[in-house]
Amino acid sequence: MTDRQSYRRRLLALGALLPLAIAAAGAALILSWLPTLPGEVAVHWTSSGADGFAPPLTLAGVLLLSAVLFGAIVVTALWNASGGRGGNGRILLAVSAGLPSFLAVAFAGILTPQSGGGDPRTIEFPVAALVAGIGCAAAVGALAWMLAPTAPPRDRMPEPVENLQLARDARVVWIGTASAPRPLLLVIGGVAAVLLLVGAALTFTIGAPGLVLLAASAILVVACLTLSWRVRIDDDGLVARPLIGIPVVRVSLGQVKEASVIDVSPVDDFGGWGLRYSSSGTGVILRTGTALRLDQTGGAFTITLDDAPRAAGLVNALIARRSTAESSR
Amino acid sequence: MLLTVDPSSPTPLFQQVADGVRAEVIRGTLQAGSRLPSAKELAAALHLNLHTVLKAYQLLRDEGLLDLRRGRGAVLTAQAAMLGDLAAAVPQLVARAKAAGIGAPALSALIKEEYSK
Repeated sequence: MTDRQSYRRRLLALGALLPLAIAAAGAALILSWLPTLPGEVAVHWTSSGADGFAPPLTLAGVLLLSAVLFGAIVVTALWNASGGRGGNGRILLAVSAGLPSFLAVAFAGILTPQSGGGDPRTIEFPVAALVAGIGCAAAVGALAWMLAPTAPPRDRMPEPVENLQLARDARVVWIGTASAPRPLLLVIGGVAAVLLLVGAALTFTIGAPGLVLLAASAILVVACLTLSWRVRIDDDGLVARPLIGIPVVRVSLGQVKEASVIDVSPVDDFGGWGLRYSSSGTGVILRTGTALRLDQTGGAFTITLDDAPRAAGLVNALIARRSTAESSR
Repeated sequence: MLLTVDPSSPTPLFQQVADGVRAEVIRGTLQAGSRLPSAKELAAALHLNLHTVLKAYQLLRDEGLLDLRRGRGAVLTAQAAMLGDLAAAVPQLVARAKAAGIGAPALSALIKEEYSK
């Protein structure tokens, strides 16, 4: 078994199976209590007492759904991670295991005093349940943190910059797209669709709590739209904009000292995907692999591009031509 | 994709744009289904007249390489894949011609003659 395979097995075990098992156990517990619970239980409180009510099955559903959706994103995101600090991967795994632990314990704590009849409106806010949930989440999260697998290092072999020659009067443009891997886009899109459906259903049946899911769905859709960028390089410099049109990133050619090709790992080098600001400079980081790096006077700009060797060659040729033109003036 | 036009070259500008797109197809940077930038965007980036770029796109459409539809933009057709495949066969032919001391004009004349049969 290769390092990559054993890493992925542990990733699946910690990021998917563990949270699913915890959520399933919590859901099974809720199901076993169903006969003793009222048709609607208190699920929301204000300072004056319980004001939100829902069938207990909703709680089981929320528990399972959150574990499945969050686990799917975490596992896809870390599937191709490469060795390094790995801190961000650990956090994701800890949250993925901690979230269902919190919900399972908190829901159990909410339901315990409501079993055996009685009016749900008289139930008090279960502070102890929440505290116990947070404690459990911290313990399970810490365990996942400790057991988190270290991704095997990937051979970083950046391709050499292509050597381009430009005629003095030639006009040139390079146009390309920088896009996240399709599986990641599909998983995020799928999760957004599920959240939209469930959120709409909950909003109509229970009310306000469903709006949270609708908001989460909207955020994921926007995230998807910022994971594909259109990039243009010409005499003026580089312009990159995502499908939704904002924000526009511009790098003026006059600011660029040198272009190079590097091999990036999103989580290790930039702490994630999208438009990033990190110690490695600004970056439009959408996948692992080859990227164009522009060294500027005020810090570096990096963008993941399939055709990075040629893009870098073009930027260097444009810089060379500009400096020749300036010196001959 | 990388496009270069040189106004000081004797080749017409629209021809240079079309050649550039074809070269990118042969390189594999553009594939069947790839969307070309809008004529407006390309004209602005290359400081060309919009009609020059449109003429290049129409030339490529007449060759069957490009699908021009209102609203969908310029999309490369399945023929782009054929052109790419065909390009892979060329180096061998050229290598044989070179080994035999046959230059590019003679080889292109051979190919043109084969077409006119």
